[in-house]
Amino acid sequence: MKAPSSRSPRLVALLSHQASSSAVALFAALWITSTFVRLALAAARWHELDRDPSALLAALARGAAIDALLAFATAAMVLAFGALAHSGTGGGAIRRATRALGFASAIAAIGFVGVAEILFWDEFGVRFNFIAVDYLIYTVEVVGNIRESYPLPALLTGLAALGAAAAWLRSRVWPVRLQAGWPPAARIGVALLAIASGVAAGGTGMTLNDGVDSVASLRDNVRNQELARNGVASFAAALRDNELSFRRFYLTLDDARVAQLAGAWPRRAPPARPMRAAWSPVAGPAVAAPGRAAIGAAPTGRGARPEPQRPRHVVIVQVESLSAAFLGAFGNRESLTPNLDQLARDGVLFTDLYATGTRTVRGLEALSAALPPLPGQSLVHRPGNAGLQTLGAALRRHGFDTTFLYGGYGYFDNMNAYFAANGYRVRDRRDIPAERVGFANIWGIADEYLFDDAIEQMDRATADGRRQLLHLMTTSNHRPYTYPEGRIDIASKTGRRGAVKYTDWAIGRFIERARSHPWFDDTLFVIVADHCASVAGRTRLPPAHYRIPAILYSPKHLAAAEVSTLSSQIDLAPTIMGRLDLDDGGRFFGQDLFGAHVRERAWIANYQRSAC
Amino acid sequence: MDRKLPEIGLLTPGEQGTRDLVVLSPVRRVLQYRIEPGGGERQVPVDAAKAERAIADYQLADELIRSGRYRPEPSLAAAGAGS
Repeated sequence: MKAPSSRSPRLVALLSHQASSSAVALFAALWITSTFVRLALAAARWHELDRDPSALLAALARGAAIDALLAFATAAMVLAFGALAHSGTGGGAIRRATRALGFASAIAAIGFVGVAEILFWDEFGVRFNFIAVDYLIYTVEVVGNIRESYPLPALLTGLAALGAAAAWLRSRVWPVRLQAGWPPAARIGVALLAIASGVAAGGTGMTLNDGVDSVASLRDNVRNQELARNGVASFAAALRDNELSFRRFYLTLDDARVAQLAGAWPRRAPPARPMRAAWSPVAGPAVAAPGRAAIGAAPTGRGARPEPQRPRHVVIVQVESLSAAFLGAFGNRESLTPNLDQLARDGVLFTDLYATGTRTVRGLEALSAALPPLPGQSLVHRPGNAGLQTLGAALRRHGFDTTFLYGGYGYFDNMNAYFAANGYRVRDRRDIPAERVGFANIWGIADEYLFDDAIEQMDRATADGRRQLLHLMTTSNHRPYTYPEGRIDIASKTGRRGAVKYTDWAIGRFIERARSHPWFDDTLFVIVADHCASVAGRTRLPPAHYRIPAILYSPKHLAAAEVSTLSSQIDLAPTIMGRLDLDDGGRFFGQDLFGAHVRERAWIANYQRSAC
Repeated sequence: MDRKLPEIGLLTPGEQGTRDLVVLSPVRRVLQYRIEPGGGERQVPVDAAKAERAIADYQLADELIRSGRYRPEPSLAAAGAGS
C-alpha cells in the first residue's frame, strides 16, 4: 500500500499525514476484521444458513456495506481528532512509539470484540444484542463464565501479540515518512468534513443494520439476517432500544397460526375459553347464587345501557413492593396489614392474581397499557412508546380527567414522559408544595402526604362534575424503609415489616379521610401492588414471587367477594372499564375478569438488570 | 451455568390443582414446569398446545406494539355513532 510516486504531491501530503495514515489503517483493520468474523460465523453455523447463492451473497454484501460504513465512521472520527491534534510537522521517536502503541491497542481491541462476537455466536447464534448488554452489566459473572470455558490468558496474550504484529507490519509496509504540514484552516476543514461524513456514514450504517429483517432476500432465514448484521451496531441498537426482539430471540409461529390461536385484533368476540368444569371463581359472604350477581349486574356485553349505580370515578393505588404474602388476607400471621385486610373483607379481593414483572415500571405498564411483559425493558423505558391504548387514553375518550400522581420524581425511570404521552396528566413530587410534606426520603414523600395530595386533587377535580381517574404510585415501602415516627408500633428504618405496616396505615387513613368527601361514594378504589418485594428464587420464574394482592373497593357499588380466577395485573384496566360499564373497543390485551368469557392465565417475566 | 436470561412465561391451570408454567427463553427455547399446590416446582415435558398458545399470545402482543396497532380507537364520535 505504498503511495505511488506518480500521484500529485497534494494527495501524497494528505495521505502521508499521520492523521490520515492512522485513519486509513484503522478503516482497513476494522473492515478486514469484520469480514473475517462474518466468514467465521458463517462457517461455524454453516448448516443453519440458507445456502442458496443469492441468499448468502445478499447477507455478505449487505454486511460488507454496513461494516464499511461503520468502519468509515470510526476512521473519520480518528481523522478529525488527528487533524486537530497534530500540525503534522513533528515526528520524533516518542511520537512514533505512541502511534505504534495506540495502533497495537486498537488492533487488540478490535480483535477482542471479534473473538467475543464469535464466542457469543457460538453460544446464541445471534449478533451482539440485549443479552450482551446485560452481560456487560454482570461483568463479574461473565468473566467468570468465560474463564471457565475458554483459556483467557492465552487469548489475551494472543490478541496483544496480534496488535504488536499489526503495528510492526504497518511501520514496515506503510511508514509515516513525509511529515507534511497542514495549515490551520486546512486542519479545521478536514476535521469538520470528517465529522460530518462520519456521522452520516454511521447513521446510514445503523439504519441498514436495523433494516436487515425487512430485506426480502434475507427474510426467510434468521441466521442469514444475523450474518448480515454488524455486531457493534447491533450492540448499540440494543442499548438504544432497550428491548429484545421477540422475533429474533424467541420461538415463533407463523402469522396465520398466531391469528388462529390468539384471535383477531381488536377483539370482536371473546376468545374461546378452556374453562374448568363446575368453575365458580367468585365467592364471598355477600354472594348469592349464581356467584356473579353479587358483583353488580352481570355484564351484558357491549352496547348495554349504562346503569346509574356504576361508580363515576376511579382511584388506583399502586403500592410499591406489596407481595401478597405480607397480607393477613393471604395467611400472613404478623398483623402487618390490618387496614388492607379490612378492605379485602369489605371489597372484592382477587386471590390469585400475578404481577407481570419485578420492577415498578413493569407494574406501571401492566396497569396502564394492560399488555403482557414483552422481553427486555418495560414499554415505559422504550423509545416510541407514545399514543398507546391505556386506561387513561380509554377513559379520556369517555370524558374523564386522567392523572398520574407520584410521590417521587417521575422523570426518574421515564415515568413522566411515558404517562404524559399516553393519556395522563402528570403530577409528581415537584408539584407537591414542600411545606405540606412532613417527611420524605430519597424515593419520595411519605405515603400519607401523597394520599393527602390525592384527596385534595380529587376535591378540586370533581368540583366541576368531571369524572376522574387518579393513578397513584406510592414509595414508602422501599429501602431505606423510613417513615414518620409515631404512626405505627414498628420504628422507622428497621426494615421491610415496618414499611409494609406504615403503608397499610397510610392507606387505611386515606380511605377513612376520603369517606367524608362528596366523591367517595361514587369512587371505585383499586388497591394493587406494582410487583413483589423480592424475587430471588432459584427457579426461573417462581410464580409465588409474582403473586400480588388486588382489591376493588366501592362499598356503594360492589358487594364483598373473593375472586379466585387465575389472573394477571394486565386484567385490571379492562376489569375497571367493565365495572364502569364503559366500552374499551376490544383494544386491551387484558380481559375483564367479570366478562362473559374469562380465560385463566397469568403472564410473568423476569428482568434482572436492577431492582427497584 | 445459571444465566440471567430474559425469560417470559405463561401460567395456566394444570391438572389436579397444579399449575403449568410455559417459559419462553432466548434463543428460541421453550421449557415447561409444573407447580404443585404446595409450591414445589419441577420441569416436565413441553405440552405442545400450551406452548403454542403462550407463543401466539406473546407474538401477538409483540406484533401489536411493533406495528403500532396497539392504539385507542380512532375517534370517540365514530364509536358513539356506531354503538
